[in-house]
Amino acid sequence: MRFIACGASVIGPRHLDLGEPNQDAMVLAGCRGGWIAAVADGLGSRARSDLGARSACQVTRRILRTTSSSVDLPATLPLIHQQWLKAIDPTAPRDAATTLLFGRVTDQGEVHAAQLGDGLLLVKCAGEFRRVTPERTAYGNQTWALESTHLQDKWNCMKGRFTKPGDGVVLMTDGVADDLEPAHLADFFDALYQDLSARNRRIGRRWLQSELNDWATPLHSDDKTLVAIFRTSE
Amino acid sequence: MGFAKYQEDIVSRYVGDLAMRSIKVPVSPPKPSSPNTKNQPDQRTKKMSSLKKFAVATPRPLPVIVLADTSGSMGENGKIEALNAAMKDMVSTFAKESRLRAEIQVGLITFGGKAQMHLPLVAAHGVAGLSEFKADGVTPMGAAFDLARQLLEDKDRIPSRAYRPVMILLSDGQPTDDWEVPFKALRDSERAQKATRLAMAIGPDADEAMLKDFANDVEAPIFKAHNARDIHRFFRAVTMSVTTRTASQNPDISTAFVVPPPDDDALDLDFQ
Repeated sequence: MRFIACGASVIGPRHLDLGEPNQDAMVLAGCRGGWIAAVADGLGSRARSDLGARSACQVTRRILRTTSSSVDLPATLPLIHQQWLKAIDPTAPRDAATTLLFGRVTDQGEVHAAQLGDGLLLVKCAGEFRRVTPERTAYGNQTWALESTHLQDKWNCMKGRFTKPGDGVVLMTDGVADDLEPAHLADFFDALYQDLSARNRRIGRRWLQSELNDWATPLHSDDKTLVAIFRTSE
Repeated sequence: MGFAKYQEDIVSRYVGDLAMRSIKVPVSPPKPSSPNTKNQPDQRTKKMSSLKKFAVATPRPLPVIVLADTSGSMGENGKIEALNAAMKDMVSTFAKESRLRAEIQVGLITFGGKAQMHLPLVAAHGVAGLSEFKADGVTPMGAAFDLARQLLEDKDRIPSRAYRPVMILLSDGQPTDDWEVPFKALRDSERAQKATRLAMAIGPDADEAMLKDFANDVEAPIFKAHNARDIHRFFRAVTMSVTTRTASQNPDISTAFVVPPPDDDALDLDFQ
């Protein structure tokens, strides 16, 4: 089974103007023939949200790498939170609060993914597209996040299997998610697959970076991060 | 971003290349191309296809909703004139603000005789010739709360990607309708309750207890306007607070609500 995996994270115009760092982070790493991906969006109002986001991705990668692929993701969530608290120490959790979305795809095409807070988690299994992220009930930027208390019931989790070419998982922070037409998410997912599968990863990443940097929504301001893993062969 | 790039470089050198190297074209694309289908993914007719067509073509809105008492008593002591002038100043400042990372939208609900949308929620820069409020009739504040709640709950008019709305209530008297049930509905509404609520009591007859209950921004306790100039000062503070939010790192975070001091040389008679 073959996969294509690609991701990019770009700093938003607002942080660029203010000379501040990217408060999004991402990890995309191969693991035993499969892939691990994570994206995190540090809360803009918090002093060390860049550290929080970066640590969340690092911790997730480390834990998923060492955990057996047969272990369900929900079981790893308390450990991820615990290790994140250690990683950001001595920074207060409140100052490093961050959203976190991550996924693991095994060499056999088993996919597990989870999300806490804003952003968008899209999957396609057996040709069937699904938005895992529930509809937002209020307004933008009001989100659950990794903080001092573990919020097991606020996570959205999914598992499935990639059985067809074009099946995949896409994780993105709200800088991208909030500016996507909700009615065309499935088309967006397929367009990503088409575009990324036609390029090698380095060119694909450059293309993705340029798409995110040159975002079409007027007055867009947020950092933007997107990671995608697709199955490309039978 | 540095970290992300670093990680991916590591991966591409040592891990992922094995999976990637042999892929020149997709072995099996997800769907055969069909010339008749609309909204299909880009068929790569261009070298660089685009994700732009999936992006929303409008900026993220920051709604500002004013609930203005336009009952008959507002016609006394120049209150309605001061309110009209302050409204025009605020809308024109919102329209001219050029640093914005969000589109300020303004909606005006009046309650004088009856509650109505005086101005539907529209981009401030698109407001041409704001019609003046006219003071007349009783004070149906409860009906105004209902209109505000309906607006805040309407995902077509205020999408989920909008920044947290700001709602401003100003009144110079007691509500004359059953306002408590609509007020509770507003405060209990899952969506509407998330809006920032500011309040201004105009003159000595305003229902300050109710206005205090309405306000929910710790940065901005109820403001008491004693004269026409105070109405201007309050709306200057609203304008400053909203425009600061749109230029700040996170437009959802309340900013300091600072009412400018009165001019020493201004001659103003207090509302009776």
